Amino acid sequence: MSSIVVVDDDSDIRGLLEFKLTAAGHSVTAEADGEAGLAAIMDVRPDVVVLDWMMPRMSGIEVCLELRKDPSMADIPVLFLTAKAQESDVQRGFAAGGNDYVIKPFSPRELSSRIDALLARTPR
Amino acid sequence: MTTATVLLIAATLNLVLIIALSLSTAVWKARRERRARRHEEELAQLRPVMMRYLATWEDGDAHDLADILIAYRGVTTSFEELVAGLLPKLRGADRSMLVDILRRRGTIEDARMGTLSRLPVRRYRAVELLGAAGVSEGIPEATRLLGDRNTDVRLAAVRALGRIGTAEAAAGLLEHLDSEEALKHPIPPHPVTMALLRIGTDATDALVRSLEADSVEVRTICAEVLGVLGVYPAVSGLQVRARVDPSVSVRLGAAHALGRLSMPSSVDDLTAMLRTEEEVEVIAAACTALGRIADPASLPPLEQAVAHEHPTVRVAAAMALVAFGDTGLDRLREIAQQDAEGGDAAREVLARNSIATNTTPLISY
Amino acid sequence: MRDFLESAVIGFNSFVIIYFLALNSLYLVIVLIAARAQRRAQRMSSETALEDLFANPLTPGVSVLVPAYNEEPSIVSSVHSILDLRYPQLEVVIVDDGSTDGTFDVLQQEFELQASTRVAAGVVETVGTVNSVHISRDGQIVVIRKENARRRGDALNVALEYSRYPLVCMIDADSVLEKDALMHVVRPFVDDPERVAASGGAIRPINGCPTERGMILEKRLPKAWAPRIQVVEYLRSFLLGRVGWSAFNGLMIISGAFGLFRRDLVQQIGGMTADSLAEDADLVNGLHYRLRKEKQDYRIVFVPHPVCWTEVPENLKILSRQRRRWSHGLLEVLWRFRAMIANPRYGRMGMLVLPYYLVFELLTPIVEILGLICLPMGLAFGILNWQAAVLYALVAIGYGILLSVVAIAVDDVSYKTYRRWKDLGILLVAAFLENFGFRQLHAFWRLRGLWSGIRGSNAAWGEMPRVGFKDTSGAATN
Repeated sequence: MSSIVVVDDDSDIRGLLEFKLTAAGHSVTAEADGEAGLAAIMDVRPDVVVLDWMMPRMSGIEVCLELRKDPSMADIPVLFLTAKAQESDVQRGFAAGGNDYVIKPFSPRELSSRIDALLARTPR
Repeated sequence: MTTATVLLIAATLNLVLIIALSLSTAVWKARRERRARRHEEELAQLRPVMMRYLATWEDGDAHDLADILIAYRGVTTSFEELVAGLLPKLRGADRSMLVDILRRRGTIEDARMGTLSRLPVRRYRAVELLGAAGVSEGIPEATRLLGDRNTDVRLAAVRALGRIGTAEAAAGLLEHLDSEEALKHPIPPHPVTMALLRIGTDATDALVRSLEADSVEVRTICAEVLGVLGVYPAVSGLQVRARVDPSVSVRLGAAHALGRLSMPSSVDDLTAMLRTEEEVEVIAAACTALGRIADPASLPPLEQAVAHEHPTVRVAAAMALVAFGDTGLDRLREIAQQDAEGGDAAREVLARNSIATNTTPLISY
Repeated sequence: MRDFLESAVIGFNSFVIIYFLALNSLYLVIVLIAARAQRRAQRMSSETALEDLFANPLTPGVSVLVPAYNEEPSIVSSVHSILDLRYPQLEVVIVDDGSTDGTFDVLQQEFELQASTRVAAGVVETVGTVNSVHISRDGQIVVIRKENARRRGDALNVALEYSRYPLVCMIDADSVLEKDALMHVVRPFVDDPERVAASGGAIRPINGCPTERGMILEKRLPKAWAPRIQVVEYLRSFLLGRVGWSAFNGLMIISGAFGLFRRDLVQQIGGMTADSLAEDADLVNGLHYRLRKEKQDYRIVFVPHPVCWTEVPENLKILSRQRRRWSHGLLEVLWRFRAMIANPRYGRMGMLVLPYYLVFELLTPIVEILGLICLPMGLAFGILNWQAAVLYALVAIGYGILLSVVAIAVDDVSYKTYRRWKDLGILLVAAFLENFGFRQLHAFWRLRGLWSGIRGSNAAWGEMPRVGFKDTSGAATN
């Protein structure tokens, strides 16, 4: 069982991912803004983080940069799940330290596979 | 009637209206809050069922959940809102399952009827729903509403066609725009471009065909969208448009598209445009396109364009040279050092480039 | 003598009553038009339209122009909140208008700015010398350092000169924008690209709302009565006045706190009038003037959705200064565009909007103050009896309250801005209290502004260089 933190200000997406990933056998913590998300990540030390970009208090990019600064969390894979769809946005997402980038609207099944792939690639 | 009576009537009227309005606002607010509470309760029931259904339908044992959702009848519009909120966020099979539930509830059929309503708001909502669900049975309805009297309804129909997204929808959209009817009730180009972009590859045939349309707007839209979608078979058609189309916006759109498609076969046409084109914006776009293609044959004409009399062209040409890598940068440095025409643009672009790549410029001013 | 005085006072009082009846009835007509437009906008507002706008790579880019003078404490968070807006393509052009604090340093540190040789477009004339230009690595942020010319308009012109996108957004450095603010005001441009020349968003006072990192956490009313009354004023002015004017294309003011313009048109009229006290109204009227003169079919649109929140003065002294400046500025603008007033060539602007602002906005304080003087005089000389005086007052005040209540109701029904019951109560009380003290004070401030405009105007207008106006300045002297 892997632990996953989902940070998204959209309650539908939070709810959906909570159910979906729990059904897939993971333990999920969901937060609605960047700050709470960062706190949850520090607390849980998850195996994967799913991050929205545009959120109140702290953007996903900032959360990711914070993670990368901290050596103890620099290796946690981050998957951006965002409506920002321009080429330059994707570049910025990866530049900030993202490991994968999924554009909304998204397919929950695809996302689930991507998370599995990230989990498989990360040594534990 | 004396002044005093008039005043008295006015004052009383004011007072009555103030009180009535304050009270009805309060009543309205109270009703709204009651509904909102009810709405929340319904959502609290409905949401977990919906989420569990979406999370587990794949395993094949979610039929009972589907039945609950199909049979659900709330007092408020909680179900519709939940679905309307979810649809635009999802893609793929999960989305299809959601649409399937809508269909089995009869919501799609209701919306198709709704497009015939006398009330613009009804037609608007109906066509929005057909678009959100993205069901092909909505194409005839949405196409019909392209000629609606109400602007918002027409725009909603355009968006719906984009979301439904088939070749048929694209053809319907472009044909309508090129018809007489579109003159009576115009549709702005921007929402149309987005609809066509959403339709994507399925729109290709209709787009290539309409590159020759009568309407300037349609030709412009087609040129731009073909570029963004990356439709390579359209290159020769676009080259013709860029050179000979009588409309500036079409030539501009075609130049943009040729740049996006970046085919070496466009170089001759684009360099010819640097000589013959008269519109500054179009020349600048041709420079940018040449930069994207970065074919060595276009270096000399671009260098000349750096000395163009108009600053927009100068900067565009200098920016294009950057795309050639070291060769282009060397040329730019030469131009920058000369105190000739275009030196300013070269220096400006070199400086910008040095920021982007974080190197110091190799010349001193 | 007594007879004469008596008939004068009675005559004047009747005039005042007729004036207010006309004013408020006209306003009610505007309100009705506004209500229709409002209802339509509300029922057909669309999230899918915003989504499409956001996802389209062909959506026009927006340059956000931010004049900043000594904004060290807040500038970084302002820029961050602009960058965080939901919009696909935007740049922020900040003009450091000769700040004497660390405005530039904090920007440079936060955004890793680098010196650039970017040149001005050279279309609009500017006053303050530009010292240097700095760009962030991704090119999204441009900072121009210039000498202060004591004119907001000049700073905006400089920003305009260095911006590159087809739409320019003018905002105050301390405005707090909703996440979708830009999308809402850009929509008119893409839905009607041939005609829309400018659009403005609704402004609300932010006092009392808890904020964090440039975002509003909850919408609440201010704690003090002066700003609470201003909330009512803003509701009235934006939800009723501007929606109504916009519905028949007679919008005269787009607030400088948040407005969007087509860059080419702003350039064509020579940018902002650098020395104007009301450069926002000046710009909008410049556009009306130019486009009407050229007989173009155009729209200047107001977007009623509350999208921009701004700090209003809590302190009466500062408020007084602000209102005096507005009044002076209005006089200035009307004076400058007087060629349009009552000129059928300028259509509704000339025949209706500007005359309305002249008679019912600019001159209101005079009538109001005279009315205030006449009432006790009439009583003292026994010309008016108590009942009549009370009735006069009741009608004048009642009408004012009625309009406020309409605005409060519209806001509550359409936007549900304030969630708490307490806030609705406070707004209604504020609408009532406004008429006892605040309204009279306001009239007095406006009168003073008007006076300083009349007194100082000619000298000031004579000696100040009229920068950047090639076309309209000629008309103003005709």
